[in-house]
Formats: sequence, structure tokens, C-alpha cells
Amino acid sequence: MSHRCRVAILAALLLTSACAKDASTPSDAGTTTTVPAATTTAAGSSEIPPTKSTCAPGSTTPSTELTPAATAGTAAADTLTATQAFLAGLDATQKSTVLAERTAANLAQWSNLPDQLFKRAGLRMDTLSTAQKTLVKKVLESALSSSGYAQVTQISAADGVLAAAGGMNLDFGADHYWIRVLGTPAATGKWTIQYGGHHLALNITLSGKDMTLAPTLWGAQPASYTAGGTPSEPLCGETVQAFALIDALDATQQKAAILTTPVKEIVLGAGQDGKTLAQEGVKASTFTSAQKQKLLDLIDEWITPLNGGAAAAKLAEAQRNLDDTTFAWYGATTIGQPVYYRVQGPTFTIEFAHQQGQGANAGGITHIHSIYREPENDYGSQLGT
Amino acid sequence: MILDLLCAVLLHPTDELVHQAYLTRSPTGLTVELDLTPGVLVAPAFAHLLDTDGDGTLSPAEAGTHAAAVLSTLVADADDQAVHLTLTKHDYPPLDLLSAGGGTVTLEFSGAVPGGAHELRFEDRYDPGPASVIQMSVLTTRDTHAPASITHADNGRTITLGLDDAAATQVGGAAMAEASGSAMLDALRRPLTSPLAFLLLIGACALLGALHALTPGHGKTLLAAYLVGDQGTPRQAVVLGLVITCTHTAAVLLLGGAILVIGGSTLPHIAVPILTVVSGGVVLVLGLRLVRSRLPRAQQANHGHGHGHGHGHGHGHGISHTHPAPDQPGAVTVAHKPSLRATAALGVSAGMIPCPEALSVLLLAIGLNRTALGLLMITAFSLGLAAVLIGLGLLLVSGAPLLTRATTHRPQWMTRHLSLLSALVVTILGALLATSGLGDLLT
Repeated sequence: MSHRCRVAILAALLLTSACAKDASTPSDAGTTTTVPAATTTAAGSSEIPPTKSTCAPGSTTPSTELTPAATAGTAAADTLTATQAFLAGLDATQKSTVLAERTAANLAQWSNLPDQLFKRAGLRMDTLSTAQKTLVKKVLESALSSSGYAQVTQISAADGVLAAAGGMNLDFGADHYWIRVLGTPAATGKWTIQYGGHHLALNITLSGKDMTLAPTLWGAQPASYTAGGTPSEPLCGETVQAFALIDALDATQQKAAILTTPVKEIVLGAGQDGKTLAQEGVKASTFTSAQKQKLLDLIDEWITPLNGGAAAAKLAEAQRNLDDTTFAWYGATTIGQPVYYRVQGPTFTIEFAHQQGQGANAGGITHIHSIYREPENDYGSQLGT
Repeated sequence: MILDLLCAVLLHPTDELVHQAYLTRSPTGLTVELDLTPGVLVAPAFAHLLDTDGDGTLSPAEAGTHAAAVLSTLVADADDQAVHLTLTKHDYPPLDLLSAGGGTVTLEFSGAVPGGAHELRFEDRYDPGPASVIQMSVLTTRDTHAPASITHADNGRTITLGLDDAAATQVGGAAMAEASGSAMLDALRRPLTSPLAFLLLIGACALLGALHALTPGHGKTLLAAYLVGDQGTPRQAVVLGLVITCTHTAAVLLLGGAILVIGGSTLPHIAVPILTVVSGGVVLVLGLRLVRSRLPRAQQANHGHGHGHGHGHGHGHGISHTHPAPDQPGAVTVAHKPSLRATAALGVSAGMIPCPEALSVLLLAIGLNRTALGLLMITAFSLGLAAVLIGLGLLLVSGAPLLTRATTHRPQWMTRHLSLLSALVVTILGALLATSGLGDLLT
């Protein structure tokens, strides 16, 4: 409670007091638009059910239905149980290696880079026994939705495909992923599971029944591949839904959405904790109902990797704040072309970037970096408060 | 397929240097963070560029030379008036890590932006080679508004921010409370052109102080409860108002000084709750003593019995009073005068929590190298504050006799209970303040 708020409450106790209300309440100016208002008439219902992506069969992550919010606590409890089982399955040395204090420095120790370029901590999957790997799998399956878990396995499998292709050996591969537990796993208090490596950095923070994945870096290279006869495209929905949205905008809205100078890499990647971007792009308040539906479908792709119960609450929050959300784009609007896009709402920031680089040296649509953050709530800083 | 993947690895975007510029506008100016992240293939060349003596390490002199070279390529202006940027922070990773493509050079520059500027333009001409790509972004913080507009140009090397932000759109009490602080901050940034301008500025500060006193805080409720309950004298009203003002001003100066000496933005978050607990504790104790001294008389009124005589004594705790016989005329105007020591203690408690506006003005004044002017402005501001508090106090004590006359023919218990009620209010105020401060400290 602020000083002024206290005074305002105290003042109300006196009949003679005519003090004004708390004057120091932070304004919500952070939502101030940074773009000229589009001219399209705002419309749309407040209750829009999300629909799933239309990726080609076999190349998309499995669709998952949101579980009722009442089960949010169950997922947290399952994750706690799975984590405790994992820790119990380690020897003393492994346990002391995987556990660390939940400090700001430890939380920030993740990267998009392969192991040769970034020093990670914890236990790497290729050092674990088969039984221990199964216990890690259960931890991730508890914390994530089925589509989120599939996304993780497909990204790490892609790294294996990349490693198998040869080329520059920067120490990466399908089993070069690390797990680390920061803080003490318990039903109360805040603790974080970190799981990541090249092109992946999951930060799963729990506090009681609450959970968040922010910040989580999702990358993929190759962005689509076929392994064992099965095509995979871990970030398919995040790609397809974005093109569906930009294509659904009218010319005025597209002009407001498309950035005028190149953005080819995510802005709030690793090492950029604590930063909040000013909003740019087109305001969703100018969208029609159909356009809002497409925006919600896109946001859904980014929120539902988290387990159903926690994701449902975040999705409902995003839906409530839809009019305060902005969408920015750089690149062609035809699917198959390399692009950058950003979706910003009061409770999340999403960035997606095909690695375009200069000339042919980029990978283009075969190489994706992206990030999901929650301003003011990365690593669950607002959980339990 | 394999060939494609091989190409993907070899053609990984490790052959470019990502040059990210993060702009943050604060109330006092502009901060620019530049992050230079070379990819694997271009990293050796970039590291070689920095390692001018070729010894394989990066000395402070080499880092300084590079930072100065970057600074020389940056241009910022507000409404075509140059914003002077200086290097405020730099972080260079070990050269071997940087050379391997695993490091980021971080540079931070800051500059003061003239108050009232409508447009801020920043241009970054630093170019370490053809493989670099530049991206500029604007950041917001809890304390800064997003700019009204953001315009990118020049292939990403120039960004223009519209500064007519949302502060002016606030409404109601919030806008009123912010007005005095922001007006003073703006005045502080503007150069004074004449003695008349100086006098006008000081007068304006006093006026702003007076207006600011009408916003929540500054012990008005305490002052009201205390003076009404004790049927204080004009002298006590003046003393209480002056003590609150002097304490408040001193608290601003002390806390501002402490922040400058110790540094860091967390100090106010610790000091203010502690002051709140101390303040609340003192008020609580004073309130309890008032209740203890007034309760017997209220009970007397309840039971409707009297002694048929009056007596007076001192309790030695700074609050002395007399007890006239309840059935005598004038019993409701019971003389119950707190000592100056008690009045001063209450005034100190009410004024010891500094308001953030005054504190911001002082810190900005020091930051802008205009400390003397800032002190004068704070003083004028405080005098305006004192005038309102004293005026309010005098109004209250002059209103008490009217109340007395008006209630002469009314039940005595009513007037007696007013005295007890005010003591209870003081006690509750103290308890709430202390609890609230304690809560802030614990969280």
C-alpha cells in the first residue's frame, strides 16, 4: 500500500476530512498507443473461443483442449510431485548439481546459443540414465500441455537433425538439453524449472497453484523436417496463424501494422530480462470480430504450451485485454516468406523472427527464433503476491 | 534434404553483427543501451577491431577507445536542441568469448532532455562493418509513459519519439496531485532569465506547496483530530503546522541526502516504511495517552455523577489538564491543554514521511547541478504548505469556541465524547500507520 493510499484510508475515518482519493496510483500509460489510430470500425464480441491452427496434417503440434480452470492447481501439484520424484531418482552429486539458488543471476542463465558458445548449468540429458530421462519427461509432461510437450520434443529433435547434417560443430544435438531446478520445490514458495539448450529455453515457475512459462524462448532449425517418416514443424501454428491474421487485415490496418524499417531478430531475447517494449503496430481495438478471432487464435498458440488450467486463466486474461493488444509485422505478407512479428498485450509480449540476415546467409523460413514474455511477471515475479 | 540442412548450418545467421538499441525516456532525460552481438563468423573480425594492440586481451583503454568511437557516432536532439550524451556504463566480455561469437558488448549512454520538448530524435551511425544489422526499440518502465508516437526511418538508424504523452490525460485527484510535482520539475529544468523570473518561480513554488497541502497526506487529519479534540489554542495550531512543515522538509532533505550518499533506488522503499512505523508508533502512544486521560471524564458524563469541585494536576507526560466540576457552568469547555512537547512530538510524527514530489524535485535539482535553486524551491514549497496547515489549524481552533457555544445547552456527554472520540481517532490513525508501515516492510 502506498503512502498516499494509506493517508487516503486514514482520512476517510474522519468526518471532517475531505481528502481526495489516492493520487499515486500508477497510471496505465504503458498501454498508450504508439501508432496512428487505424480507421477500421472496432467491433467484436467479448467472448471469442480460440480455434486451432490449420497446419498440414502431421506437421503441426497436437491440438489440445483447455482443461477447466479448476484443474490449474492439479497441474502444479503434479509438476511438484514429478519434480520431487526426479530429484529422488538422482544420486547425491547429481542432486547438488541440478539444484541451485533461485537468484536473478541463475534465473537469467539461459540462451539461444549452442553449448560451445554459452555455459549452462544443471544436468545435461545425455548424462542421465534412461530411468532419469523418463523422470524428466514426466516433469515436462506435468508442467506443459500435450502440444507444449510435443513442441519441446520436436525442437530438440530438430537440433538432432541439424547436428546429424554435419557442418560447424558448436556442441548441439537432440540430447544436449539441460535441466536445472532453482529454489526448493514445495507446495508453497516460488521455484523454477529450467529446461533448455540450443533454440530452447523453458523457464517454468511455480508458486502454489500458479504457474508461468515466461520467459520462454522457442526456436527451431530446421523449422520443418521429416524424421522417421513423420513430418514435423514445431512452430507451425505460430507461423500459420500469424500469416492468417496479417492477411485478414485491410490495407489501412496493414499499413499501421507493418514496421517501416527492418526488424529481423527478436528484441527481448536472452539477456534482456526486465525490459518492457513500448507498443508498436496496429491496435486490436480497430479489428473486426473476425480479425479479433484470428488474433486470439494466434495468442492461443503461444499460451497453450503451458498446462491447460494455467493456460486457460492466461488466455481469458488476454481475451479481456484484447482491445489493448497491438500487432506489428515486418516482411512480406505471403506465407513462405521470412518475417518478423510482435504481439503485445498488457500481460504478454510475443516475438517471432525468421532468421533473415544478409544475402542468402540466413536460413530464412527454415530457422526461427521467438520469445514469450510476461511484462512484470517474467519468472513469476507477480505470482504469490 | 541433407544438402539443404548442411547449407542451413553453414548459412546460419552467424555472419552478422546484431546491433540493438534500446531507448528509455525518463523524467529527466534519455538513456540508450546499445547491445552489439557478433555472430560466429564475423566475431573474430569484430574482436580484432577492438583489440587494437593485438595482444589477445581487451584492456580498459581499448574498451574506452571503442566506447568513445561509438559515442562519437550517436546524435540525439530534442526539438532540434542537441541532447548531450555521455557514456554511463559499459560491459565488454572477455575477448576470447567475444571472438568465438558467444559474447555481447553492452554500452549505455545518457543525456538530459530539456523539459517541455515535443519530439526526441536519436540517430545511430555506428557501423562496424557490412555484416551489421541495426534495430531500435523503445522501452517503458513503471515510471515512464510510452511515447505518443514512434517513427523509424533511415533503414533503422534513426528513431523519432513524440513526447506529448499521456500524463496530461490523467483526470481528477491524481492529476491534481501530480501537477505540483511535475510543474516544479519542469521549472527546474528551465533556465532562469531574470530576477523577476526567479521571484515568480519561488512564488509559484509556494503556491504549489499550498495547493499540494490540500492533497492527501501531510498530517491534516491528525492536526484536525488533535486540535478539535483538545480545543487547542491558536498558538498550538501554529506550532503544530510549523513543526509538521519543518519535519517534512527536513525528512525530504535527509532522505535525499541519504540516497545521494548511499545510492540506489531501493532506499526510499526501505526508509519510508520504517519512518511510517516509527511515526505510527509515536502517534499510537500519544493517542493512547489521550484516551487514558479523557476516558474518566467521559465515563463521568455517562454515569452522571459529579464531585461538586474541581481540581487540576499534571501527569508528567506532557499532557496536563484540569477537571472542573461537571455540573458547573463551563464544564464542557474543560481546559485540557497539551504541552508544547506533546504538540511537537505529534507534529514530528505527522511530518516525518516525505512526499515523493518534493523528494523528486530535490534529487533532480542535484542531478541537474542546480542544488541551491532546488533547495530554495523546496523551502518555498514548504512555506506554502505551512501556510495552509496553519490556516487550517487556526480555522479548527477558532471553530471550537463556536462549537462550545452551540452546545452549551446540549447534553454535556456529547461534547465530552467529542474529546474522547478525537483521542480514539488519533489512536486509530497511529495504529493504522504503524500496521501499514510494518506490512510494507515485511513485503
